[in-house]
Amino acid sequence: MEFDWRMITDNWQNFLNATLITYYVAALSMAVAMGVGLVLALLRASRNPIVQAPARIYVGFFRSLPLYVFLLWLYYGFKVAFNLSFQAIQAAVLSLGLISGAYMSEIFRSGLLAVDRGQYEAGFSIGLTMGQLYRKVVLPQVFRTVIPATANQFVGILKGATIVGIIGVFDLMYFARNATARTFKPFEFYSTAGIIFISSTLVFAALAGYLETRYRWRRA
Amino acid sequence: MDLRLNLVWNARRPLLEGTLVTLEVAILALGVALVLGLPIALLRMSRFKVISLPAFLYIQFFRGTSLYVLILWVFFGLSIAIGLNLPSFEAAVICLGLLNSAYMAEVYRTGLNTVGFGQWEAARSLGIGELPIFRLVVLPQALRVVIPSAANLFVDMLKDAAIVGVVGVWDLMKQADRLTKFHFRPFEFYTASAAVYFVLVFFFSRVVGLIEKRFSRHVQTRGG
Repeated sequence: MEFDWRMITDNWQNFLNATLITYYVAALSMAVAMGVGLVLALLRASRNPIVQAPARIYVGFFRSLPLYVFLLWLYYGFKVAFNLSFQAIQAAVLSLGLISGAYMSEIFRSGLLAVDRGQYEAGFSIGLTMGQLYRKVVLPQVFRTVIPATANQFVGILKGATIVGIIGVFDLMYFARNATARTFKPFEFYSTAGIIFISSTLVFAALAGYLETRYRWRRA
Repeated sequence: MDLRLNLVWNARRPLLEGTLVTLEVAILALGVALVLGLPIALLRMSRFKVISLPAFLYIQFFRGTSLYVLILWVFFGLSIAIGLNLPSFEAAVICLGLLNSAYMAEVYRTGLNTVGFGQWEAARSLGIGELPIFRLVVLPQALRVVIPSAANLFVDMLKDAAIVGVVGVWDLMKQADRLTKFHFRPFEFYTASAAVYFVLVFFFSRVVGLIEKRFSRHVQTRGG
């Protein structure tokens, strides 16, 4: 077996561009997931069951749906059924973001639960409104608690983002598949793509580990 | 928009067959993960860096890899590079199993760590050998923690297995894909497969819940 290095040296620019697209998809999806997750977590924090219900249903639904299924459903299904066509990259960000939003909401929820009830009582007793209380007291603590878990979730999103090429997003794996079809050198292209992915996820996993020690709550 | 659900009903046989293949892949891969995970967890827990480091790297490697990347690499890459021609079903089971053996190893490790060191000491002082201690004292206690997590992992594996059609396994999604192309009705068939996944995951999550309850029965307080 001979490893054809030329495949990589000749294509390094393509590899770079495709990697950037993968990162782009992952970053946007993370943003969607954080927005969705925070809203859902706040809804679930409500004591009113009617407010809670949609959030519960959302989480239950999206946690049981494989990304691959949702991606195809959204991209191809909606186009034909509702004449609603997304660009591939939009469909990718939406599906990855909406699914991860369900997981992010659980992370935010655990962050909310970690804030002691006494903080709410103290906030109200000095006359803060609900909005002020959340903005100034509760959420800053939540964000700090969820940092490590969020970094972990990003690793999951990055791994999920490997399949978006299936609907035609020109990401790293799509490039690798295309190039393989052209050159018939699957080992070179898939190995390189794999190494890029693994090193990315490892970097973020290490970051998550670092953040975990950095932002650990210490009891006073 | 008109829904033609009768097409889905007419295609129930291939969809059902695909569902069974999906379950087969996930169950066999769980077997691989369960078997490989334990030795890796034990190596990882070794005091000697020479032993624990490879296990650590193994875990990091497979936790950082997505199934899609691994399966294409194994199925297409390795077949050209070293002439390893795995059939697609075997490739799917091995890849899914390997990836999850890393998660499983962490699950085993957590389980084993929950068993206090005092248990080892107590068993030793009774004159039980090291291996029987592990088998009769430590492992049963660890399994209480391990089994619910493994069941949870299985639900994730079931969802991950949706992708194995890319190397030609005739699983649920591949069947849905074929039917979609044949009838040009993506919405119907993808909705149907989404519904199947939803039911499967819902069912297995319930099972996980029951298992969790069963295995923590002895630590529950009665009547709150």
